Amino acid sequence: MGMQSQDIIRRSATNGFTPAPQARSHETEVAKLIDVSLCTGCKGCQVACSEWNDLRDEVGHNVGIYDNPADLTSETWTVIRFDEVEDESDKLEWLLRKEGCMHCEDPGCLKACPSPGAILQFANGIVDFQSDQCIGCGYCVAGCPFDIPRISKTDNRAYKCTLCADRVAVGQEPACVKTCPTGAISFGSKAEMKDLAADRVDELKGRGHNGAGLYDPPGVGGTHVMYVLTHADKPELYHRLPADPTISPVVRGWKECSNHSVHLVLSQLWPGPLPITWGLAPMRRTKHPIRSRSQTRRSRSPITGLQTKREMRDGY
Amino acid sequence: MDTDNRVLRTKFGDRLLHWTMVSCFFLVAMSGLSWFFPSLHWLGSVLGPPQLARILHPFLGVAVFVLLMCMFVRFVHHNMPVRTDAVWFRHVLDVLLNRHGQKLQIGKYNAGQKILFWGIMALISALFVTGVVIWRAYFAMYFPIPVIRLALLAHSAAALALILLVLGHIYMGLWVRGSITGMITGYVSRAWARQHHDRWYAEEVAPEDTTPVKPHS
Amino acid sequence: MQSEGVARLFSRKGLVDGPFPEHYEPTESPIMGGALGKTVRHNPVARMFPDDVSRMGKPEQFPYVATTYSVTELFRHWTKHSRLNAIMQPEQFVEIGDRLAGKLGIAAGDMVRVSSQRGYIEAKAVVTKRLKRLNVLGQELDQVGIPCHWGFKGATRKGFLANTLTPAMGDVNSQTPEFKAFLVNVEKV
Repeated sequence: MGMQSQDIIRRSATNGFTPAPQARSHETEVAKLIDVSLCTGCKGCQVACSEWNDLRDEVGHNVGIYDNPADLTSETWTVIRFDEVEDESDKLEWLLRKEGCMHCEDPGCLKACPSPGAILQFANGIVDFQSDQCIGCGYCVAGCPFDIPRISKTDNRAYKCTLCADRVAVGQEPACVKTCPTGAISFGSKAEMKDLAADRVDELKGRGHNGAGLYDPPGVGGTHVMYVLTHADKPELYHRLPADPTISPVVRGWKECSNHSVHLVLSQLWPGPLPITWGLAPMRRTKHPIRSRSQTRRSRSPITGLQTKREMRDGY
Repeated sequence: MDTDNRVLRTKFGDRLLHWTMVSCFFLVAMSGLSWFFPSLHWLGSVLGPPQLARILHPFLGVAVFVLLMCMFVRFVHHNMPVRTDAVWFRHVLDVLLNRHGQKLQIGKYNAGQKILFWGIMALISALFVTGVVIWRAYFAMYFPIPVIRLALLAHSAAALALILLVLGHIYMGLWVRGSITGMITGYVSRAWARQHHDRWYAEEVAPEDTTPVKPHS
Repeated sequence: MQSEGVARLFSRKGLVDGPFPEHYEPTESPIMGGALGKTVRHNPVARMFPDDVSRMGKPEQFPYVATTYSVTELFRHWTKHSRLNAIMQPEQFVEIGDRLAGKLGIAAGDMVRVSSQRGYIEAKAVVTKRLKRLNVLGQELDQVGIPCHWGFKGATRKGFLANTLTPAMGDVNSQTPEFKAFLVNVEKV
């Protein structure tokens, strides 16, 4: 991690009395933009992901679909989903979607995680698992609105896409972005990616895709992996991509209400600021005051939309 | 020690059962709390490093459940509701204020203890069922995620309720003098038995006696 | 493109079957008459050895049209030796249109046997809407897609050689084998 340890803005199982490091706040939020209309399903991104992250899944089976491996696993962090959809007029569309962690602004996995520091959110928006802290309870699996984390059968730890946090930290784009032969995946600041998406959506609408739009679901505070969908009005068509993902109220209830109520009860039993009641305080959402400013629109760099970290910093 | 004045209340096997369960329960409860309250994380250290605690917690939970089932078989006939439980409920204030004037027709266990018995039975059973659902290594993959979410919520709620109930149980054990000794040695004084469990004393202890009963001082 | 820098509509000496390009049915074809209203069905100048002709199937026994092709995950029989490529497409499959699969009682992931007059292969069925039932000269026609990357040892799972099925016929000009259209039968294993 190195300097990245200072970039953390949110840390699992850590309450508001001992917040995550805050100093390096002047950092741009990043985003990956996946334009499904440009994807050919070549799986180059899957190979690049495995190459960069040194992952080698099992040579599996064909289960009657193109998707291979057939699902995300602890050794497969991204999978292209192939869905054949026919509309009312029998017009067939082969809808492809690169599935993987969405890097939510309000991550359900982080909320659910009981192990301090096993899940981190960095100032640039990346949500990353610290596998040495992971205890393998699988709460992140229950917390995630997108069914992304997978627990390894061999080491009992959770794994998912890191958004190539290591590459991004040194000013490189994620491996999948670098390899995509059709330019379907772009990477840069979130503001810039939204601009790029807006242009692309206009273009798609001009070509008759009236339902085209950006997928950046507000229910999870927006995501740092976004899609341009040709049917943004029906995201479920893309392998059950949820239309309005949120952290389940059950998970919220489990993690927030119970903490609140017990805190309340105990503070009545033991009046005064006893350490025990501090310990029971609910996890406070620590946010950078600078954060809202980082949303300002800036010109995007050509082709990849990539900016180095220095450029991101100097952007202000 | 005045053995004449003492009666056997809990047999060795039952005491062993109880205290084994107590040990397992404390380990399970402490590791569980460590995952529920971030600042009580250190409690999980009773089971070693965090990963090991996560592995052991469900196995110890199963041990608690199995021991509980043994206890159920051993103790259920003492804990069935009877008509005279109503007397205890009517005088619950006197009981709490330590006024032991009248005979409350209390059997081996009073109505409050019976509630505790059934409460613990229900909560540990609920914890067992929900615990299986969320047991990631072996069972969680067989359940849909929304079910796991509900099970996690129910597991936490049941655990908190159980811990509160057990805290009450410990408090009563300490508060009613002679109870803890009874659970450790198995013996209680005749006076204790007559005062707290008069009907049990009259029906089950006194008839077996060969020695005359000393008056209660 | 020719030496004068443009293409030609006809070639006086470049084509064996010239001067004009012509359409003929594949050697193995479910269309019994001549295509496009013509009486000649096959290319009359094709080199056909008697042994190969005897191994041609009839549409009565082999009613479906098969085509072989590559998928993006693999290149010929080379990249199946690479573990990452093998992970992306690990096991041999054939693609079957949903209507044909429905007719034959085949579900996605079932093992199927595809046979021609020359041999058979067994592979997993990928049931797809992309292979439509065709209507050719009033005749309903189903197609089967056979990716060609398996057979021989490699990092992928073991599979059959797709070219067990294909006919030994070449294009009259290029001698490119006629592996894009031939007749097969499909059964559930």
